[in-house]
Amino acid sequence: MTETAPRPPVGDSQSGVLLLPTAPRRMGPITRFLVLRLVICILVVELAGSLLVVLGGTAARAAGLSLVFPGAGFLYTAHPGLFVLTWVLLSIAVVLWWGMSLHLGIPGVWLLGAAGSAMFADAPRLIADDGTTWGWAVAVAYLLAATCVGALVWSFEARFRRKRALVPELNEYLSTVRVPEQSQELREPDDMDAELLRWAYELTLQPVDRFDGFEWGEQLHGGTVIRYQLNYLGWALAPFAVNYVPNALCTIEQAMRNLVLKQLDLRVWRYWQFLNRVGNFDSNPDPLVRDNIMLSGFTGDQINLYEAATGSTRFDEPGSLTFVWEDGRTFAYDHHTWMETVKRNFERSRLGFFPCEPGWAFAACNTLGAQALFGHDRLHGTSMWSSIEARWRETLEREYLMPDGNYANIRSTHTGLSWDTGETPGGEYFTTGSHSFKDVAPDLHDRGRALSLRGVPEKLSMLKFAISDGMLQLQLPEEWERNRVRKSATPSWTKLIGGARAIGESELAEAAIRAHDAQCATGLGWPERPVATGVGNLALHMLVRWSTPLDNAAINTRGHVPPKGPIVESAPWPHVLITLARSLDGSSLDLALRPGPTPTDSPIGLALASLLPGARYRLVGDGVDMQVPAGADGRSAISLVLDRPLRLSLALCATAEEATS
Amino acid sequence: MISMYLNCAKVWTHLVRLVCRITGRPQVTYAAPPLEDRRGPR
Repeated sequence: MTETAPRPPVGDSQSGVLLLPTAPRRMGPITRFLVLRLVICILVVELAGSLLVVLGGTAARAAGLSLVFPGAGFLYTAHPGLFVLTWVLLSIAVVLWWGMSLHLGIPGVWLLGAAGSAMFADAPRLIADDGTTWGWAVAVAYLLAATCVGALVWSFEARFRRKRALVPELNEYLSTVRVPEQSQELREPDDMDAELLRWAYELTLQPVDRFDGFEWGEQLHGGTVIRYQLNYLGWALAPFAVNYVPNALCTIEQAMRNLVLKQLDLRVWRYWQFLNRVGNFDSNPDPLVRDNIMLSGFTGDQINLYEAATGSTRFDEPGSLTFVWEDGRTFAYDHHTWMETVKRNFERSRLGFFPCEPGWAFAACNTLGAQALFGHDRLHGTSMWSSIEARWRETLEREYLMPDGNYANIRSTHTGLSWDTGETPGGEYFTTGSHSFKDVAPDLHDRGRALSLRGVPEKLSMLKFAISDGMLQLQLPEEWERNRVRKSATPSWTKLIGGARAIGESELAEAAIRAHDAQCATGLGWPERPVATGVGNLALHMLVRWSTPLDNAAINTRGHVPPKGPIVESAPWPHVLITLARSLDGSSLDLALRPGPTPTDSPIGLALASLLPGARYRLVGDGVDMQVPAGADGRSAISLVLDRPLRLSLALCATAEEATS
Repeated sequence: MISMYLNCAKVWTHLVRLVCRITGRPQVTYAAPPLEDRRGPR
């Protein structure tokens, strides 16, 4: 990496954690340019409005006042209801600007208000005599405009100064902090893990064009967006594959593959042409070529994790990721060209981050895009991430960083504006992406982690007193899910489990998992959900639950590592559910099997491979005790009646030499 | 960062709910919309 990216000082930090800039700037250079351009545009409108107010007759003056302050001309012509209507429409335009990139909404309502004011100058009044004008509206319009601008400037400046005042204290903390190590315990899957895995398999192993059990609704911004459900499930299964079943990838590989293939379904990505038309005036439906990092970055990361967890390179094949549009047009990609497209979008972005929805560049999504390039480099030895890393970091640290170490969630690439849109608490965060910068910027991860965990160990340690019989004896309040269809306590539990792990409290994390299961389990199976929450939040819960000892940042950094020891090459889904298949010593195999969603009384067959050729193994546990001779090719087959959960161990009894002597 | 005093995410959800109510479509379903036939690749 070049040294052009800004590096916060570390010299005075005894802890080795990066300190915050002591003289932070209000805006980065590109944001400042965009904001100045916006201010000039508004000044031009104010000037034009003022000229009409000074020089015009009643209609022109009304139009001018509506330019000075949206809808104020309606006050001048004694139509207060239309003034209120203008502001209702303006508020909706703000939401649609954010929600569907309707960039012309606000200026449109503003201009419509001006035109309407002029047209209504001679219209009948409801609450005054015809032809009445309210002269006081002129002063009120300027007063409201000044108040509005003043409030926005004040809100920006007050927030900046409040955060800047915290810098000495925060740097003192950062320079001496000793953040606890993250816990990395090896878990044994329990009954709920099995239920969750069974649900995830049934959901993902249905035919690729079937989506039974997924939550469908609007596909732009809400909690019913299907692409995110697919991402989250893919992210959740990756650590399960690596931590629990690295030696039996047969079923989970197909599940993760299907989750990627479902992203190619037209119903999943059709939304893009609408957004591209509205926000970019571009009718190209290709979902990758321009913007849309919320698909390309997120799913790029998902593809990397699929490859890193399973070792499958099927998406490296040309055309393996082909989108087919309504009219038959195809947009053919593969793992490599997908990532090259992400990289090109980064490179041509003026801000350094490129948009999700047209005109809106989110720090979270651009971190996902960074993770995607990073992961591809790790898997394939390319240098896509390293070629954009310096600029990416510069954008993050100069354009998005706030004085207290938070990063703004969102920025308009047209106006430079950021505000709390209600998507994340406060509209800001200390770390973001799904790996919290751990892979793409470890130093920023450490700083963000230290800041976000400030005071957390003290708070969470109090909870340990509520542990009894290995379970937290409390219930968490239910909160509205993003789509506001239902309330759920699962997201709060997920945060608590993640927080406990983050400070090394694995006992607390396990107790929280059990308490979550006790409070939120429904006892239902697919197509219903085994936990009282939506698909997205359930997948995020599984992601956190299964992210130990390795999380996805570690998997993304590590790339694919073939399993050591015996492997289960095939197992007949849906008759059998494998919840554990790992070898801790490289020669034996810990195996946990359960009846699948379609159990059978007949013996089920498991194909084993990677055994020592000619060696003799023994499979024992839960009433099973059988000899397993390995063939000369290191393969074998076993047959079991699976009428109950079985916890088994396959251990080497004798090598080929020992067996024949 | 400025303050807009407007929770866009919450208002968006209410707008979606309103549109669904007007159009008679459910806000959330557990069945995917049908996938119509497409013409062959070109």
